[in-house]
Amino acid sequence: MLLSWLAYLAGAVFLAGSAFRAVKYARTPVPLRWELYPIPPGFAGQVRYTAAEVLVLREAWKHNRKLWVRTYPFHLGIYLCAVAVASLVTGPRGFTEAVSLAGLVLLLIGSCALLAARLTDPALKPYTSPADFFNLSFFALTAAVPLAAFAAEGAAPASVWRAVATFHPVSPLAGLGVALAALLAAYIPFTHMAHFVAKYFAYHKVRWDDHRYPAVAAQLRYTPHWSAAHVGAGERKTWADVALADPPKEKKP
Amino acid sequence: MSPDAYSALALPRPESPDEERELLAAFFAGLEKLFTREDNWTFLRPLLITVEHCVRCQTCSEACHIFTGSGRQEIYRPTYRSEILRRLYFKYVRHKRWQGAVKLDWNTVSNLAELAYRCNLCRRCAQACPMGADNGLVAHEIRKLFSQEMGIAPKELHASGSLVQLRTGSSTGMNPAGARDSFDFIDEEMTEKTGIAVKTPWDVEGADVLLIHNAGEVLSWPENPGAFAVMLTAAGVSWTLSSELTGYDAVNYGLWYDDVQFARVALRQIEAARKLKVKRIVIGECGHAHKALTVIADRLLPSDLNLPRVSSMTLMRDLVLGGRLAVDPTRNDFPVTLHDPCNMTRLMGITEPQREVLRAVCPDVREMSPNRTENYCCGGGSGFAIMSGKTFVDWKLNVAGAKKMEQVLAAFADCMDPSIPKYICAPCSNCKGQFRDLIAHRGLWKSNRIFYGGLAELVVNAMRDVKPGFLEWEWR
Repeated sequence: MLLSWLAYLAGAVFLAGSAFRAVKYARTPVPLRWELYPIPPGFAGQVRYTAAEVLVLREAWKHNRKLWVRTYPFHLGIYLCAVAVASLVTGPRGFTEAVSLAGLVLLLIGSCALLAARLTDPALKPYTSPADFFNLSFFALTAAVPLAAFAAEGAAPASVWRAVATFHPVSPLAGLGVALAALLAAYIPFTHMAHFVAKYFAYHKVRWDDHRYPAVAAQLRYTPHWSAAHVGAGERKTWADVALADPPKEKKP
Repeated sequence: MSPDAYSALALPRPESPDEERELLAAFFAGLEKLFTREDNWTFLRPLLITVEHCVRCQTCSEACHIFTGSGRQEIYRPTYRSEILRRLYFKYVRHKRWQGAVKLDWNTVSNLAELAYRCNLCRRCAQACPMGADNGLVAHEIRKLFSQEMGIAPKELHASGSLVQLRTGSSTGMNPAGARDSFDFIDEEMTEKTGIAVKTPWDVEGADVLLIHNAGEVLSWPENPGAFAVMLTAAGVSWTLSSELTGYDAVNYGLWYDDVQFARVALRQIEAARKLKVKRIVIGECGHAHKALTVIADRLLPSDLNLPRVSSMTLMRDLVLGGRLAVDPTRNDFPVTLHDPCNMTRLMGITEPQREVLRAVCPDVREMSPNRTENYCCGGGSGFAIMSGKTFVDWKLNVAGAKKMEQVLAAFADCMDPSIPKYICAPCSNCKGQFRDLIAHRGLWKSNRIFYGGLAELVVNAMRDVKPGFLEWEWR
């Protein structure tokens, strides 16, 4: 019972956390234009580009094949687990079981491969923070435990998730797997792993965005506090005031 | 203190612990402002996305001509300087642990200042990033922190650059009277050389075109603004130059290091056009000026100042392909390769007009590989073409420019014999400066007759109404 509430709560936190992050980026001021070409032509072109990026991680494939072979199983594993969860109610039982198992195996392979690269690759290791190691380990464990429960207790992952979703008891190891997944889902939006949110803004609100926005007029009334003499910022001076003024004459020592 | 053997800023080491503390406090204040909406509304969104979401997968490294051109030295990896900033941000601004160790001391700060000037801001790394992160932007933002908070910037960009431009009208120091004198001289030269009577019009109210050149052209390559004057005169275009302060110099060095200086210059350039009531501004052969006035300034401009701003590449295409200039491509009977200035191509998407013109006026055009939006920077981008610093020139020629020269040599691989003159068409003033230095450094003019220049010169050299021999093939 408690586990079921935890799972639902985690789902809610995941959604709320992702929405919070989206709102955070949406509420950042409209930046100056900063496009990057090529820009896919038209709405359909952008949809095609985005679909290829999400489904097959096209940019990683194009620019870093070594990374792709590790990160694609990882991402595909997540997608398959999500498909399995989404089809718990309506999907055929066999399909859901197969997809969930495939998803967990791919996720385990992918997270271990990424972790191994972070531990051994001299180009990656110095740039890997303790948080990165923790995150990847968390994923690996979250995938490994339900697979262990399946092997040891015969608890098929989708059956376990269905039982939890309908407030039925599950075996201890399977329960641990669900608890880990719930905690991970609730944790993701508060880390850089929520890049699914950030990417939308990076592409649609920076790289591909050449619109003009009335909001900028209000931003020109912001008060900058930069201290360099040539800026000439002052308590009541707005960005517009500063931009329209000549640089203050610097005093000679 | 510099992370390598070169220096763009030549920062003096603090002389006392008190001075060091003061500098660190200033840096920290700037770091906080970089992530504050009031202070950095201009780029906060893309900066936050990059700093919070770059996973340091190093996919961008191989896209960077500086990293690969250096023999893959770690300090030139696009993520190297970003990682320092990211760790400083998480540790000192967000107070988060577990995001990697970093110490805020003079070594860190001075290295970061120098490293911000080991990136051409060409954003080829961003193009390769699977996450949408932009490590080129991070270098730009670090430069801003140092300039806008600490008053630290390369003297060529700031003290002798944008400050001079705002004071005298041009970063070259050329005042309006000096500019008019220079153009009078260019007009005389062009008239004599081409047989077309050229008189540059100044301050013509209501003209169709206000042409703004990079004023550096006037001093270093006067044949380029001269070629424009010949083309526009021959085609019967209604055009003018402006003698307003900054109205005759398209450069905007603020683009590379300081949003305030950027906005000041851009607003004054637009104001010059508004005063003349011209129908559109055409930007001469200068990549960063294209991007600055057309793209980056766009959202800063209120509606009444948002005048049409177009590229000289499209104007030349309209004149040549529209039949307003009769050309004979056999006059350009030599191999030509086209350099794509990053600001025009990857950062603005202007890739075809210059090719259409080139194909119309040159019979032997060779593409570099890769090209268009995937081009490599010449190594002079983001101010490096005009910066010398302490041994900085050695770095920009041997490291930053290495990849581009590989491309040039590959494009001309089958015609390296010095009996065949070869032309690198670089429709950007800063790129031309870098090519001049790269070719001279490697002795490629003397040994292989590799020359460089703009696009307008090739058009005029092919014009039937112009006396043959506009291109003189004299090294300068």
